[in-house]
Amino acid sequence: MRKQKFETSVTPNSRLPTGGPGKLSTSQTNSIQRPGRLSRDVQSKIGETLQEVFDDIVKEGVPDRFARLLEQIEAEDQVGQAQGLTEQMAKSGEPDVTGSKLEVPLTDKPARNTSESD
Amino acid sequence: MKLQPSVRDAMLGAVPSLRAFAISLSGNIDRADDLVQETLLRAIAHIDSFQPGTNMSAWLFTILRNLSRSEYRKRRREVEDVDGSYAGSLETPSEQHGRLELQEFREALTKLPPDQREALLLVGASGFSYEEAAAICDCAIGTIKSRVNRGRARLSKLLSLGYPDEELSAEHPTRALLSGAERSADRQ
Repeated sequence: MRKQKFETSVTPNSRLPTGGPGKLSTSQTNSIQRPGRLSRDVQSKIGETLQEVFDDIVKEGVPDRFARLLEQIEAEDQVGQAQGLTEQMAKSGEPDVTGSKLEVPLTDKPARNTSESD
Repeated sequence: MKLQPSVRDAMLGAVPSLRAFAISLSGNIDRADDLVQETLLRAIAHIDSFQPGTNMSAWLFTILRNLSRSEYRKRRREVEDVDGSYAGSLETPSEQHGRLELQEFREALTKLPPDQREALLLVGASGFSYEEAAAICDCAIGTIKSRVNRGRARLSKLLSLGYPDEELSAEHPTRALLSGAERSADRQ
């Protein structure tokens, strides 16, 4: 029953991409519900709420302590000191948390939910 | 070595979402802010390993995620990792009809396994692609997809929104009836 509802709810318009490949919304990529999967409305409800919870914190901006920290490092040329501060952590923690092998391309697009339907 | 203004600006620009990630991961604002600070110090100390032209935000998320992981391993013997103090500290009134209670959602999020929580946060909230999230978590793209799906299913169950069941396909005539019954049972 739900399947039928979702199929008929897809209008020709909603199939049209509205932006780049990274801009498809969940509703556009998950137009057909498959058995054993969450329904589309549940998925989008979870997605929207997750985003809202996250954005509530993002809206708080940059707390003073971080702006001050970077200002201080910049003013006092303390990059070497920052290295000293983290030296101990680097020894006891993971060998390379900075993931120097990471190769993530520069991207400006939000790239949200690009392949939700996998 | 001098911290370049452009690097500083890129770091500051990433802080709000980095912090949202940390708070949502740890469930504790103070610990999250310490984690963000540690991440920034690490990043500055290892700025040489940052490749200009690549995504600063993804790099910082990777560092924070790895720091969070090692802290989690250290802490798990001592206290419960996610203590829910963040979830309990904010009372956001629900303004929109039909929306999940944000408070309830935050609490449910803290109950997810860390793998699923971080995958959901990276892909579903921080705006990273599956590919970027896989790079941040140092795993396969398929693993991220699977964690996102399992995380959503778990959240759905925790929040009594209905969840997938292999035996009850979408075509099953009693699906609606049963899922309705399950929802009210879960609410009790």
